[in-house]
Amino acid sequence: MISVMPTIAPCPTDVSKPFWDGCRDRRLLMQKCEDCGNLTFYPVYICPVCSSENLAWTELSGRGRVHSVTIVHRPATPVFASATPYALALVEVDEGPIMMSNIVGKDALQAKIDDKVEVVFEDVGDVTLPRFRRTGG
Amino acid sequence: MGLRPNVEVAIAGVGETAVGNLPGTHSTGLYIQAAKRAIEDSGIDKNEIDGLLTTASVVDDNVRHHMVIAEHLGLFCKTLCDTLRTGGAAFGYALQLAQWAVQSGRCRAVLVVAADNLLSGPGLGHGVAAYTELGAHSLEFEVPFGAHIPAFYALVAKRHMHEYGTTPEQLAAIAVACRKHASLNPAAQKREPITIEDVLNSRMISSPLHMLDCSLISDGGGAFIVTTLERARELRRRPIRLLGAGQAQSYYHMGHLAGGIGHPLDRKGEFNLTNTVQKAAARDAFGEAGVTTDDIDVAEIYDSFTITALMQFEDLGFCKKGEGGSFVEGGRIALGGALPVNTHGGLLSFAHPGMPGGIFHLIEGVRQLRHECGPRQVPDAKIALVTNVSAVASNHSVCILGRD
Repeated sequence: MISVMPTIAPCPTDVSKPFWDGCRDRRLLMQKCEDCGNLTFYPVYICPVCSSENLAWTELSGRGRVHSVTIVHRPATPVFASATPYALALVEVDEGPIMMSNIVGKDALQAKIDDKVEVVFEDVGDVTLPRFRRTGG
Repeated sequence: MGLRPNVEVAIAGVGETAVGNLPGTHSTGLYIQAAKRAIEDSGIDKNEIDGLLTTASVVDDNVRHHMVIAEHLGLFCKTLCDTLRTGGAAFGYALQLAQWAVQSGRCRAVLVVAADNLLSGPGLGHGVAAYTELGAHSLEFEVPFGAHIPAFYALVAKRHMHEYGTTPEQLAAIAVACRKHASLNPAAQKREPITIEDVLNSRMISSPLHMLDCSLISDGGGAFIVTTLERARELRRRPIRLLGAGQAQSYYHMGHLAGGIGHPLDRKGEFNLTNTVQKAAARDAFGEAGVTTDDIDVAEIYDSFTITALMQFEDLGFCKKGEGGSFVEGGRIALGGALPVNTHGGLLSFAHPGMPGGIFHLIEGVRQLRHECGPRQVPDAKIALVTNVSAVASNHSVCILGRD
């Protein structure tokens, strides 16, 4: 059993709860504007492009690629000390938005920009985090 | 006093505390010491100060921080009084707010002051954590993945290296130049000269940023006083004129910064991790001052990390986008080079008490233009550029100062 990287658990809010509930259900959700089509992340109250309130939670493919990645050797807080070195990345999902996450799994520390990745959902205590693993190619 | 929209403003006085490790000093004590020194430096009557701007303290926060400082200083009735939350970008912003307050006729003189004890207050190591956990979206969508501020900038640096071929050696050249200048500054926290190899051999914090690519953690503070140029000329010190200023703030969440969510559709792709809105702030500052990059004698460039400074040479227009790496090579940014940068030592070697860090760039710009910097003086400096940056290269302030 490989130990799962720890976390400082997020506190879901009224607007973000569907995102975190989705993670628990193994679904990566983002809000799509039904008026202008814009897909947005992180969760918002109105569309930041057209100000519409018609936002629909939409399931994504879970695939993306690495926009940037750093290997963290010195953790900010002791919570992450046992996990160093770890890969912190900005992942551009295939549908467009860029989110922060970790690259985990085999050869995670060799991750580089433009690597293809796919989401993996990791249960850490009471929360489920969307992290990514390299898929090659 | 009525509106004075075209009145020129100047910095009439500056002051700073000792910096480094100052155990046993509360941040408010540092605030008061810095403010008192700036007031004394200018020679202004305290009762003439009717504006006060602070940046609070990460260690001892208070939503009415500006009132605490006003009470300690005995500044009773102010027409402008607030705590700024613009972090490291606060001081060019505060200078411009002070300018507007003076030009509106509602303020005669504005005191800007910032201090903190980020090193000794929370204990070594905890300052970084305290500083990282500012900001709600960061707590929900960045911090859970082990993000911290060095890692944020490391992601920017990796992208810059990927897009433009920037090297670790080029990043290191900035740290080396700052340390060289700090070695000439008796007040600086770190004064031992370093080499590019020293930077590359220092502990990796978050790749590609080594420990010596990262700014210091310090105690200390500074202050400056803004009034009309006319009034400043009656006071003790040579006034330093504000020739031009520009501000630009984009988005803090790194996904937004990188990917253009919420950007106007017609400007999609114009701004990203390596193309910041600093160019908008620079356009305003240079335009207002009526000068170009060729006219800058000395530049005090916000350097929370080496990459923070490197990208600014591009966005400010000193070189083309992507050429920041070659720009900083070969001693160009060291004293004696074409553009001496961070002559006090910068955040990398002078001090970085957190929020107050950028005030030292402004104070150094003033001191350079007053020609009082001794062995680190840029000969005959007439025009200085000062930048402040915060919130991971998303808040920018650019000021151009001139010797009167």
